[in-house]
Amino acid sequence: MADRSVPPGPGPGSGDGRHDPTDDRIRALLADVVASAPPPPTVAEVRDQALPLAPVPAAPPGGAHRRRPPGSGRARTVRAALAYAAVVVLVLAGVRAIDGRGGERTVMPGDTLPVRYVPTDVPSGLQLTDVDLGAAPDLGPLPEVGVYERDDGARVRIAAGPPDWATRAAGLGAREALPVATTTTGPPTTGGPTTGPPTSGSPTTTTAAPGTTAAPSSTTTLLATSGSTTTTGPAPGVAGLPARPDIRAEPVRGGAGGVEVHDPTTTTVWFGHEGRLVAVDVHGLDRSGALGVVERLVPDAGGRLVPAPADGFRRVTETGAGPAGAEPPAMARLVYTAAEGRDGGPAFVVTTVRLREGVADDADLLVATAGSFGRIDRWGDRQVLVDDGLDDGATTLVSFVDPAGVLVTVLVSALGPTDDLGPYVDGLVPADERAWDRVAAE
Amino acid sequence: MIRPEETLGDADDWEAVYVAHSLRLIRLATVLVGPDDAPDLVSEAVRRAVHRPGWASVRDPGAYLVTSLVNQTRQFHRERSRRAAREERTARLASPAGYAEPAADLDVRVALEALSPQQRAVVFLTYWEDKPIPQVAHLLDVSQGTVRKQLDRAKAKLKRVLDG
Repeated sequence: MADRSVPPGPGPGSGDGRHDPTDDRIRALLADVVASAPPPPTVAEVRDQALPLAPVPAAPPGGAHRRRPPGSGRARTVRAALAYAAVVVLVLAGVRAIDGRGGERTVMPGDTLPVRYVPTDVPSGLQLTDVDLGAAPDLGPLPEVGVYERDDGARVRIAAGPPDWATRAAGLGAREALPVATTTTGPPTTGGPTTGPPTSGSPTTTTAAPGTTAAPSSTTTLLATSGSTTTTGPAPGVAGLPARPDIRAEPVRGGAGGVEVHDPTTTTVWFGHEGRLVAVDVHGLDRSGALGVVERLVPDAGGRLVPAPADGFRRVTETGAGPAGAEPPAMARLVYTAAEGRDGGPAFVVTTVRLREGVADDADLLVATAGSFGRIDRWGDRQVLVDDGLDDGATTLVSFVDPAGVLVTVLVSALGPTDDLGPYVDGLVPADERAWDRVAAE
Repeated sequence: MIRPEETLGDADDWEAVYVAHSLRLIRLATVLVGPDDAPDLVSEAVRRAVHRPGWASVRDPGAYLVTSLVNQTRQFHRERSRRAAREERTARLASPAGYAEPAADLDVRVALEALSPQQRAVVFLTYWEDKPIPQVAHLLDVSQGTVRKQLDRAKAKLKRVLDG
């Protein structure tokens, strides 16, 4: 649009009424800039701007699982129902993993990549990476773990909840439930694995009932720097990868009621400001490393880890459950950054930001957009690679969390020209479900 | 930042609000980030604003969108600088011998680059839209003192740049 009109009038700084030529020059400067302004985006363009990853619902006031108010509208209900998919399936042919050795390698057959449920309807570019079950005790049994194996040997664990788990978690009515990959043989038992016909469109599954040996043996391909400790001793290496001290898989055990969850490398750093609390969970580094990452990223990463203004927040406590009186976080948001490791090479740091329930402005808490996912682009030169940007079509970071709060982050290799992650974050079963066969529970 | 205001019916109809303020937003965005990135900035800022939990209760949605736009600019600049650094790094690594520093931008944007996003917004609202200090403060959700201070600083910076 061409608009070179220069608003008349005395300059605002002319407190004594005398004309200041600088004001005219500033107006002329603005006239040049405004003249170059393009047409504003249309409503459709603003509305249709989408994220490459599944959107996540904001935590409604008072809890992350409050039912939507009546009269929301059928369209909204349907949209919400579609979005609250009980999902998470991961793994494709050749998940590419960065192993800290100066190159990339593919995690191939034999590697087990656990997959968990995660609601996928989040607004404002947030990605829900956690569900606070404490706020919704009526969710019932947690998902069971199903094990899928592909014909090339790659294996995936799929958390398959009871048929109405997703809808209960979403606060939707049972009749709006989405089909989930689950058994239909009834409630879980304490015995061995159970089998049953899958729901329509999902492959045959063998599920391990909560509390059985299958769940505790789940492993996570969470790359971490060396030095992390676990309460159970050294963690096993990632299946299929050579054992090395700087690569480890963190054991994921089932949580109460089903899948136990444990991430011993998580360091929680709490920040507080004007009654609002934000907990930053840093995965994959030991405590000193985690604090270093948080300290570096907090003032720098554009509000990535703490609400804006970043300097308004101060660390309240370093680790643990947070300050006295802190309410349990209602929702977490994933931030992924790639930071320089202690050995000079890149190391993955996966962080989550837990929002105190009731925090008003999620957008102030940054990130949560796919564009905020950092990635390794040239880690061989040992630079700090905290970066924004969507996946480049070759490597994508996809994160999932189960109802008990386990964060699973996996690098996903190129999917081809379309590079469409939709089937993986929105689907209920592996995208190439026909390639997945039933296997015995572990 | 959420504005804890009284409920306003038309805040629910974000599309109408946006249309009413779109011209201001795109012009301000152009001042903030340049014409090439202005549409994306507007889209992102509006989308974030209308999806915030407090949007329905905002009393002045137009001002809220302005604030959202300025706030989003900070994130935009950080992303852009990191992207530029990555591209530069890639270019250097790809052709270290042939890498040339990009030529400095000598047009009017040089002057604006001297200002922070908030200062640019203050300048735009004050000089282009001729808003008084109190109204600028309201639009940007800052104090009047902050507006005066930012305006003085912006004017001083621009004067130095314009004087060469």
